[in-house]
Amino acid sequence: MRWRTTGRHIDEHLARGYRYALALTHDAMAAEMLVQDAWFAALESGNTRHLGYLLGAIRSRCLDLEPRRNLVVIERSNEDDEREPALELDTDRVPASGSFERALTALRPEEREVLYLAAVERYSAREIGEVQGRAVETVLGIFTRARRKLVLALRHASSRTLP
Amino acid sequence: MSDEISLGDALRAHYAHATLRPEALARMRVMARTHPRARLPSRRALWTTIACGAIAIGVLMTGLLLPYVSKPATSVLTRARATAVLSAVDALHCAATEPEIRTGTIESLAYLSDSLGFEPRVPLRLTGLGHRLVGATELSLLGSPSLALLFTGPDGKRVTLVETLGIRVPVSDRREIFDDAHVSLWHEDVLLLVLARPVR
Repeated sequence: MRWRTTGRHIDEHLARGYRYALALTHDAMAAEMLVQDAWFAALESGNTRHLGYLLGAIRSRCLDLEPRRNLVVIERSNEDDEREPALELDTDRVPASGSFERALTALRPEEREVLYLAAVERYSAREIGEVQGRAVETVLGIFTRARRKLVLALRHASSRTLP
Repeated sequence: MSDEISLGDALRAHYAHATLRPEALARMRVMARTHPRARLPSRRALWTTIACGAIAIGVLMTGLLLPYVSKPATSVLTRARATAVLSAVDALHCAATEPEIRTGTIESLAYLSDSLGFEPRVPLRLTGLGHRLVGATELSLLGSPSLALLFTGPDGKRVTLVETLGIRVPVSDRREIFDDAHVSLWHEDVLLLVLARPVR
């Protein structure tokens, strides 16, 4: 009997890994290379079913460009903890036609990472703090600053394109 | 304004459109398919499979053993024993050896009851059918003391009756047709009687 990772499972993990890598690098080609390296590491270690391992490997390889930390496996331990500091993104309104690609360029990698993890993966501030090795207050500060910068960049871009 | 959306929705929509190039995705799928470690089960999956396999084997074995536990008398062993008895008596009948003790009456064999552990008898099935006792031979059938009685039937053909003590078979009446003889067995009291007569 052969044990294989199912195709659907592979596609889902690779897609989420790619989006995370894109949030970190903001470069499609660099993100693809990161995912491939991390995927190989997951295969080598037999952790292809563990999404947290793949995301951690992506982050570790991205930060290896500036070696500061080893692999941190991203785990979600308590998704519904109401005591978590809220990372609210739905109160800010932005133009629907805004150029996100350009606006995100204005952000630093850790700011894009915080926004991505909060909005797409729906991580709490504490979980993002564990991923980044930062205090919750620091994460909240990065989040607030990133949100403000992104909203301003989108509104600015929108006002420039208005007739 | 109607053309504004929340920042969260805008971020999710932006990243939802980000996908790996098809050739890159295909390359990574191949990596997963061909990498030797990718074919190995995780430890948890391995133990789960082992546990499920053990449970399945246990259920299967229980199902197979249940008939033997619940009905030991009809097990294959005792059925085989009945077959062995029939075959042995058939062989004895076909050998057509002369009886060691020649006698015409069953009462004259009463002295054998000490060594046999039972008193020789002519069963009800043979009385009144014109069978004539010719003689008897002491023997051992499957390790049990037995007595083979030789009769001649109304047609003058040999009929062999073996009486034995200590052998119990699962059926009260069983018969089998061999090449030259029709052999049947049945119980009377504590005795097992096996009759071999020519096939007509």
